[in-house]
Amino acid sequence: MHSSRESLSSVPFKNMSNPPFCGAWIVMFLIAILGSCLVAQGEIRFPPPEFESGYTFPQTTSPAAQPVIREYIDAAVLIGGLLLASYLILKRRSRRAVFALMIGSLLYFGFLRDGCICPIGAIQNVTLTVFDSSYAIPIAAAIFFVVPLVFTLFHGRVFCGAICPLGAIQDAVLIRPVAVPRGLESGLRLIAYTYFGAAVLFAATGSAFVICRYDPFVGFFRLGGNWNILVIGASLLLIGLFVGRPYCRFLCPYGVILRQLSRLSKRRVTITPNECIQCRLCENACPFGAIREPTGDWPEGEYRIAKRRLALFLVLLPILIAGGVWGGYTLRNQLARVHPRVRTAERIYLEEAGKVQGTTNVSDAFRATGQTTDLLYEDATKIRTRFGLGGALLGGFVGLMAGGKLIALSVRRRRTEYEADAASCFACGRCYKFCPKEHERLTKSREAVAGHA
Amino acid sequence: MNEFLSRLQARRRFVTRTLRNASLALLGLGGAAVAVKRRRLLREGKCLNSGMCRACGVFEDCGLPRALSTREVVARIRHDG
Repeated sequence: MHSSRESLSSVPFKNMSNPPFCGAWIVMFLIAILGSCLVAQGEIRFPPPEFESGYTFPQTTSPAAQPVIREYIDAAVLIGGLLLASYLILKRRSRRAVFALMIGSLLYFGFLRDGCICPIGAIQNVTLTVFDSSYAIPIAAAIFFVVPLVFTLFHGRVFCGAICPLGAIQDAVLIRPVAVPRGLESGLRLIAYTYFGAAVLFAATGSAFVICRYDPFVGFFRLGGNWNILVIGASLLLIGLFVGRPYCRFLCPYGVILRQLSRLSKRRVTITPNECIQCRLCENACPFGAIREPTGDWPEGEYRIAKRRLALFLVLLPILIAGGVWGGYTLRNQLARVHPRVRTAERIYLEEAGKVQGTTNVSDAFRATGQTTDLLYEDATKIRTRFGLGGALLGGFVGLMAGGKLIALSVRRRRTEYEADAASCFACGRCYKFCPKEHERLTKSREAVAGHA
Repeated sequence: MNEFLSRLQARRRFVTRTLRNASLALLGLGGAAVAVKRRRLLREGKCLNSGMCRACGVFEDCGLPRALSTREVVARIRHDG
């Protein structure tokens, strides 16, 4: 097999429709981005505020607020990056170019922009803007949330493959991938659904933005941070040496949405540029277990067992949902403790009842506000009630997902050739170079280029 | 059998297309709702920066130090020409 030196293709794909982008489009976009950067220079001409009162800013762990124009530049870079990623993944089919874009994105969105703003955290902004009438999501956060979803609906998970800095940092360290059994992978993915549900619940109740608080790689991007989070991040990177993208596969809450939308995508990664010849060379090419083998008819005897199993899981589904609802409702008090108002109320109650000695900064600050404890307890009770409903919904959601996964494992979808699973494929482009038909296409393309020269 | 399979595929394609268009419509409507909400809150004179001061100085009654300083600088520039 000769080495794959990808070049611009002039050979049309049999299974693919017309290319979605052309070079001029991307150049125009880059000019627009550069134009935005020039406009941003105007920001510096404005004299920065000076304090004459002796006020000094406190040390904060989160990045300082940026001028709004920088967020719009980030949004423009995101859109430009997604357009480029779509072109490189779907049209040019070059793993090398995708990798280069991924590293560029890691440097820009990760290290230069401190890993903030990102679509994963924007889930919480969107949730809060739905549930809190006095909160409006920043426009840039809304763009960061919506744009990758729109691209996923058209081109699959190109955001995961080339733009997401969290995915990029894990992809860059993957050296010796091992296969995760499909059942185990499916089970571990439930963590992501639970995390997604919990993040939505905590954001909806105004308790906390847990996705941002427990972002495992932000400490690396900001070159410092909470030790616990750094240890978690380092552990994920260590696991990521052997298990491809563990955060993306088993934890990412944004991935939960992208997985579902990717099933509806108009175009997506196809392993072979035209007809599959069933050579099976691509079978083990994907480090993320996203390549599905062809399926024929059910083997004799297995069909009846599978049918019974499916019937059992269908009966089990409402039981799992009901169990989840009960479990979530039971945990309402523990979940409500994430809300600072509830924690304060509990602390004040313990202090007032003489069950603890001394005071804390939080209880001192509360007393300094002059609010009555009755009002505090009333607020805490209301929040706990909300967590009763929210916890039940969260539990029901997790139960539904668990049941759905069991059912999905028992259903066999007919496939005539090897194909990338629409939901699991990160559009990294690794599988291209394993396909002999792809090599054939590249050879023809090179010959065509040489013929023109 | 083949006819059955092709009918099944056609139905699947139709459902996928419908769901995709519905998702796009939902995202579009969501975006419009966000824009409307922002305008409404701005009209009501509410800060949209969630406590992260960007030194905008837009609201006359905002007492955050950076907003005060910005208003002071802007006033000085206007006065000095």
